[in-house]
Amino acid sequence: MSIDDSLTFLTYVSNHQNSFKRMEYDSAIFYDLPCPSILAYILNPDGLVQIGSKIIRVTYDATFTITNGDTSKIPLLFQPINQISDTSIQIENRVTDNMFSYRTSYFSSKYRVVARLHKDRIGGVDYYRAQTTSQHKGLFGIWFQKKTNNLKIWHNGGTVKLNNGNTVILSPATIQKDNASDIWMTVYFAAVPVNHSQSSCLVNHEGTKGSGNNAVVRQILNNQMFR
Amino acid sequence: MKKLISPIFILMFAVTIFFMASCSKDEGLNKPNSNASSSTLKTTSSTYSIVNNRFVFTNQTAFLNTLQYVFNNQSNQGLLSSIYLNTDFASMM
Repeated sequence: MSIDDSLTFLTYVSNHQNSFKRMEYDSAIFYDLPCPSILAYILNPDGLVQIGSKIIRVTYDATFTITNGDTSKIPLLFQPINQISDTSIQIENRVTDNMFSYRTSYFSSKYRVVARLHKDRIGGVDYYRAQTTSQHKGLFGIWFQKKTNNLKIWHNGGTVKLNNGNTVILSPATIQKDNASDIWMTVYFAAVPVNHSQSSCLVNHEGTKGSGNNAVVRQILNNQMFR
Repeated sequence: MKKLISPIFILMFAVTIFFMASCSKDEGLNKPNSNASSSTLKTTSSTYSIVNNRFVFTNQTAFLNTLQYVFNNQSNQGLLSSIYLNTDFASMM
């Protein structure tokens, strides 16, 4: 299956409604994972994971936690927030605008790359992540994800100052993928809050359209992860 | 002849079982994407089980250790796509 096949893709999304969040922004439609990529690997298709006696369901809008390990209450986690009154279920609302940086670079009036940065706090853990998306301008001027020859995210290292006084040195990292429309990198995660004013990691995003002598590269550089 | 074949067959069977068991111990995070109702797999840094197709970690430390494992290997999408319980989103994109 390919995201370039819109009908097949949308059918797939409708069959996995807990796995995608449709988001509209800047005349574009994004289908994002409901949580950071490294956490998505650990959640099941319903967004569930269990840590000790805590049964947690992660959605785009909130994190639900059954605190006493009672599995019979799992169906309650799928109800609308305002209908959950059980005192053994904690609800942590996500910051709806967890995307704090949005930048674009154009191949042409019809093709572009989008660089986004997100910060999420889920279950007491902060996640800092970068995303590069390639898009094509389609019907009615709406931008939709479209595969391009190569997408890349990288940084040359960084420094993270934690609120407990510790300092973490980030090693350089690169993620790239051929024939892709969307890639992610979790730049940092921790259960200890970060002092943004004393931390720095400059993230770079790149998209390549075409190959060989016809390759066109667009970059969005020095995207500060901690701000 | 019959008496000789039986012990050899049993020995070969035992060696095969032992070999299969050894391989499964090394699977780590590579193959938890099964629907096994309850199985325990070991990584280098954490222990978890899969119950009703969801990860169950013994405590927060085990959870964070597994997150660290995924973080350290996030550039290896081939490896991680095999542990992806959510959807085959990664391979699709």
